[in-house]
Amino acid sequence: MKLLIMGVGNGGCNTVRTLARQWPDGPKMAAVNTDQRAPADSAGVETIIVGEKILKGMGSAGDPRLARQAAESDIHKLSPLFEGINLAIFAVGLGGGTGSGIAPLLIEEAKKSGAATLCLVMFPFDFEGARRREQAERGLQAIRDAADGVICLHNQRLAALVEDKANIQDAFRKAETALARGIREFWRVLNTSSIINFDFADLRVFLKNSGGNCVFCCAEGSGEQRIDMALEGIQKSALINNGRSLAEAEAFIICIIGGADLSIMDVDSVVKGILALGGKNAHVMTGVGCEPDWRQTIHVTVLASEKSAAALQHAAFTGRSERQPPSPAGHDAGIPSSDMVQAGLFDVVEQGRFKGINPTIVDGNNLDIPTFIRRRIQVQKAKIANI
Amino acid sequence: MSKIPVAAVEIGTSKVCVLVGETREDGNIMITGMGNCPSLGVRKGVIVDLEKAASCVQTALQEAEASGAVEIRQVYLIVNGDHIRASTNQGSVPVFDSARGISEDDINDVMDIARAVSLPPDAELLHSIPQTYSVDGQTRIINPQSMHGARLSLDMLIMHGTRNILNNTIKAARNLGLEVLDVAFNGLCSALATLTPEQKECGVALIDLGAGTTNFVVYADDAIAATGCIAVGGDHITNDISQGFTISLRRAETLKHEAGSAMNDPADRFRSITIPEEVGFPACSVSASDLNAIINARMDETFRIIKGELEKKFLLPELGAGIVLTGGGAHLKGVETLGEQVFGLSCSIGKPRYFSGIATAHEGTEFAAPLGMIRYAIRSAAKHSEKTKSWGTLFKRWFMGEA
Repeated sequence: MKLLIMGVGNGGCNTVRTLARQWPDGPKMAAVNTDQRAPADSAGVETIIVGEKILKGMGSAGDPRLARQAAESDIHKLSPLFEGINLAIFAVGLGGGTGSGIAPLLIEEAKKSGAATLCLVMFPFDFEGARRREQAERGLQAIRDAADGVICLHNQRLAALVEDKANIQDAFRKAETALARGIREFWRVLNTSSIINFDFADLRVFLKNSGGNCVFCCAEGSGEQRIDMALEGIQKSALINNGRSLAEAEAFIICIIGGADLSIMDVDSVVKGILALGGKNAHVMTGVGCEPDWRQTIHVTVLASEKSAAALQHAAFTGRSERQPPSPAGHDAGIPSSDMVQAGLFDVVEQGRFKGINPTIVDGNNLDIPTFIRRRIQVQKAKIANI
Repeated sequence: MSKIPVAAVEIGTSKVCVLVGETREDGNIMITGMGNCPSLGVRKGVIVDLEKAASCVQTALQEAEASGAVEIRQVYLIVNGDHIRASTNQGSVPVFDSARGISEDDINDVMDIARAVSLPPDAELLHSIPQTYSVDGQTRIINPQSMHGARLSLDMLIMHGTRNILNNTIKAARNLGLEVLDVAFNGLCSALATLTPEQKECGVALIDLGAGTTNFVVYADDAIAATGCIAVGGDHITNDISQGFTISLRRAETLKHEAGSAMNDPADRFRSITIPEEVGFPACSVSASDLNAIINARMDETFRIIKGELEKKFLLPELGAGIVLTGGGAHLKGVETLGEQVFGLSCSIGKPRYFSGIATAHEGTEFAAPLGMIRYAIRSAAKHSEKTKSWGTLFKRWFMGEA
């Protein structure tokens, strides 16, 4: 499986640079930006500045349309990057112009050359202001429409990890480091989880059904207490809101990578430990892999979806049963998950107050379908009171 | 000014309302009669069951006649629904005598030309409201009378609706032997009842949060710059709640009224709300934060759709007086805060202004539209002699800054 890791915009490029430093013998990496001033000390990263003619290397001034135009004008520089790639992982910092504007275009390019696409996005800090947040929301929507899978990382949740007096640079570095680590862990998981197989098709089904409303965290442990260390790390991880998101999540992916000494007890205690943090009825998919060189080391990656388990379970099983014998690339397996969701939504309308009335369609959305369903907000049914 | 009482009828999605009103010496409008009846057979502002709707009108009418001690024969009728569309049409004429300046005849000519728009065959012209004039390319002139220039142009806001749907609404009144004197779009009526001249001058967006539809009217520079109707309203919130919690629509409605908020309050995180037992339904409980999340999602979406419409027309920077919310949905807790968050503008609740009489009628935002219709009707009746056959032709005067 040939991998390309691509950073888009300032945040994304920094992430890829961080990743390249941590992972010198890693896969092919590239950084795409509009701003020439961004540092160029990037060993192992192919840096491409787009739109020099239009923008004069001055950045996109926070305008996604301008950024997209810039990238379109230099598309001949970008499309060769994806040649022969099976999986393209994008790191995108949302909120500015470049990330929100160019990322969807790049994802489409990657798809054209037959690559599966996974996008890890950083959502701006609260202090970056409402405008950037709205821009980020719009950007995220476009990326969701384009990519096979989207994983969201909320910078604000990281803020809890950074001391109030800490350098502002540290806050951003921390976000980028977390994203870089996430990318590396996902790659490891997809590549090495052979004991209990977990491949890109599984990940894609999961992400499609969570609508990108999922959070991730990684933790590692070593030595005698490695299991406890890893579980503690997961519990504390700010990316999942100090473990609160876990408590509310209804579906998990748990990936465990261990050394040659990984025992079935280890796997069992990790999975049980994580389930103890989350809902009892959560739906779980597990992947287990082995790095033969490791000793007394365990890496745990958890993806938690904020979507209801029933829909996911259904999708996961239909996805699995219709899948052809697992192909190494995984991405070309036909998965009818989107149809399932559509059919489900129409059922809901038929039961409601607006049955038989002309539906209200605005910008292609049927507004008669409850907004919370379309936005995939999870709601619990009324509980019968025991009096 | 007319001392004769006039009657306004609104066949709304949640209620059918008949108001009777007259002018007092101080210029305020006195509401002398009122009938109000829960509506049946109306969805999203449009009649889907004519018989049921007509019987509701009958009930409300009798109530209004009794409380106002009048017999109602002639009514002004409010129309609504997302079949009502607005577009701007520009007309221009050469000035007849450029030495003397623009005359009233020139203005009448340009109005006729700007109004002459070709509509789809099934559409009926509802309102034609002058927006701004331009003289020889100088734009945004509010009154061009006796100005010098060679060419006079006018942007005319044209509102039209589907003929059959409009006729159904009229039929519901006519079947009861009522004569319909004029009809007007719900959103414009609400604007007439709630907005002050200062707000219109500074630029303001009125959002009427109805049960079946959400209507908006935007004033910039004292003229209507945009208006529209989205067929999403309080009914949708109720339906969302009902589906989210799998409870009956009636329980969902009660829950919305008594415990609902448009904002998520972190303190609600672990609070649950108990729904009391009823015949056939056991008592049950739901999470307060889920309830508010459902309402918040719907309101946020509705506001964002309107914001998108305003952004398309570059109107957001024109709104010096911010956003005014009215209609029944303005009672929802937290709706102002959410509006401020979404639009990034100040947001207030628009209560009907300069009305007196039956208190329930003029204190609630849900009566903004019928009250505005009364104001329109009184002015329209005063100018009755000028009245032409076309619907809403008089409307333009009242929306051009006078109210």
